[in-house]
Amino acid sequence: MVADNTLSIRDLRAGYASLDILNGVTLDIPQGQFVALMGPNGAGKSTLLKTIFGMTQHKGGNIGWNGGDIAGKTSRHVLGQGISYVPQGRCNFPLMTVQENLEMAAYTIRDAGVKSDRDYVYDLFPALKTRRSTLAGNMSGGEQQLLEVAMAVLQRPKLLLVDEPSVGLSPAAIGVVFKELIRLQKEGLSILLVEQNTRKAMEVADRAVILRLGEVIWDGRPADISHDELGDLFLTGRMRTEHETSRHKETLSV
Amino acid sequence: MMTIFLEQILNGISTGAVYAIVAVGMTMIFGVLRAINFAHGEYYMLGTFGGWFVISTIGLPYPAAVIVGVVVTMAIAYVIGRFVMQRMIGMPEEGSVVATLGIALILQNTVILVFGGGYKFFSAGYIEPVFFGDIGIAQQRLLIIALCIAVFVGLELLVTYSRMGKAMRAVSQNVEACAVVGIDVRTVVLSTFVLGTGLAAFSGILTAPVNVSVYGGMGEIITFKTLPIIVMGGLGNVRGTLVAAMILGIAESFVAGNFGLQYRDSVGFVTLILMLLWRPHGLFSARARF
Repeated sequence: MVADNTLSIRDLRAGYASLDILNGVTLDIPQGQFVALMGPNGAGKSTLLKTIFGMTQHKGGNIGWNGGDIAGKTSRHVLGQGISYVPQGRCNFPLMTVQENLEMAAYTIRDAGVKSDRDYVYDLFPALKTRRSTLAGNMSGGEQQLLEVAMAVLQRPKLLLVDEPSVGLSPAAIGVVFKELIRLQKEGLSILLVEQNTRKAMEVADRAVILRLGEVIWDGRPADISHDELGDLFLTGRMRTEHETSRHKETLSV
Repeated sequence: MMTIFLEQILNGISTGAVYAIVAVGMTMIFGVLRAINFAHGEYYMLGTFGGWFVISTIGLPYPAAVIVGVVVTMAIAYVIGRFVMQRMIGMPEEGSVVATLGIALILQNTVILVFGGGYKFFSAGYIEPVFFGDIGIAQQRLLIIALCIAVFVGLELLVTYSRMGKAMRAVSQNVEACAVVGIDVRTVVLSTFVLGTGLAAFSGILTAPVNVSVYGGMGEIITFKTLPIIVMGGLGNVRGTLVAAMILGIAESFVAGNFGLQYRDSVGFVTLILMLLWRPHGLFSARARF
C-alpha cells in the first residue's frame, strides 16, 4: 500500500449517542496544507476534529488516511497513524513540570529519538525551555497553549488537528501560537484548525472550509471571500444574490 | 511515665504504618478512578486469609506466606478489576459506591462460607519483643515500620521515574489529556487497582501476627479507618496519606492507653467528622496530588 498523506473524508456522519452532528462531510486535505475550519456555533467544527481523532460515535462514511480507513478507530490508533490533536481549553497535566508533560506527550513512542525530539521542541519553543521545571498549571494560558502544541509536535504527526487555540489568550499570545503553527506547516505538516477568530484564521490559512449544520457549505481560498460574505454564510448558509445586495443597499439608503 | 509515653508513640507509629500501607492503595485508586473503593478492607482480609491458610495447612514459613497472600489477592483483584473496576471509568459516583459495596459483601461472605465465620488464630511472624532500655516493642512492629518506609520510598520512585507510575499521575490529573497523548486509561486503572489492593493485602499479613485473630469481617473496620486517613491526607495525595495515617495511629494509641481501649475506634470517626467540617480537602493543599 502506498502511504498517502492526504486526509480524504467521504460522507462522514457522526455524533453523540442519538445526536447527529455531522451529516455527511466530504473534504480532502492534501499534505502540507493549512486549512481553517469555520462556521457558526453548533456547526460541528469541533465534532469533526474529535471524529477524526476517534472521540465521537462514528455513524457512517469514511476517513481515508495512509492508505486505510481510520473512521471509527480509537484515539490511540489514530495517534499511531500520525494524527495529533490539540483540544480546546487546557489539556495538559497541571501538576507535572513542563519537562514531564513533554515526556508524557511522547508516551506512545518508544525509541531513542524521543530525547533529541525534545531538544528539537525546546529549540522550536525557547519559551518552554526556560520553564522546563515549572508546573504546567502554574504557567499563563498562552504558555500552556504553546506547551500543548509542543506536546502534539512530539508525537511526530503528519497532520495536526487544532481546536480554537486562541480562546482566552491575549492578542500577543495568540500571535505567538499562530506563528508556531505557520512554522510547523512550513516544515511539512498538514494543519486543520478550528478557529472563531475568523480574521486571524483567514490570515494564516491556505484554504478556508465553512461548515454549517454538519455539512460543508463553502470551500476555497480565503482571498476569494470577503468578511461580509463570510457573515452571510454563517447566518443563512448561502451568499446574497446581487439582487438581494442591491435591495439591501436601497433599504440602507432609505 | 516517660517509658509508657514513648511506648505509646512507638506502637502508634507501627499502627500508623499499617494504616498507611492500606490507605495509600485506596488513595491511589481514588486518584485514577475518582471512586472510593468501599471493598478496600476486604483485600486486606483476603491477604491475611491467604497467608493464614498456607501457614495452617501446609506450614509455609511466614515470609513465603506473605508473598502467597499478596499474589493471590492481586490475582483476585485483577479479575474484579477487569470485570468491575474498568467499567467505572467515566461513570457517576453512585455506581462505584454500589459496585464496591457489593464486592465487599461478596468477598466477605464468600470467605465466611468457605472458611466459616469463627475467629482463626494467626500463629506466625516475629512477636518476640526487643528492648531499647526500658522500652519494649515486638520485632514484628519494627518490621512493619521498616517495610512501610520501604513501600513509600518505592511508590515515590515508581510515580516519579517509571512509565506506568507517570501514567498513573497523568490519569489522576487529566483524563482527556491522556486520550490525546495515547495513554490507555483502562490499563492504568487496572494496574493501579491491582497494586493498591496488593498493598492492602500486604498490610493485612504484616499486621496479622500482632492482631493474632483472623476472621471474615475483619476488613470492614479497616475500610472505615482508611476513609478518615485519605480524607485527612487529601484524596489522591500519597505523601499526605503517610502523615495522616501516622497521626491517626498515634492518636489511637494515646486514646487506647489513657482513656480505654473501647474509645480507640472512635478516634477515626471523630477525625472524619472534624475534617469534613473544617478542611474537606485535607490537611494539605488541595492541589498536592501524586
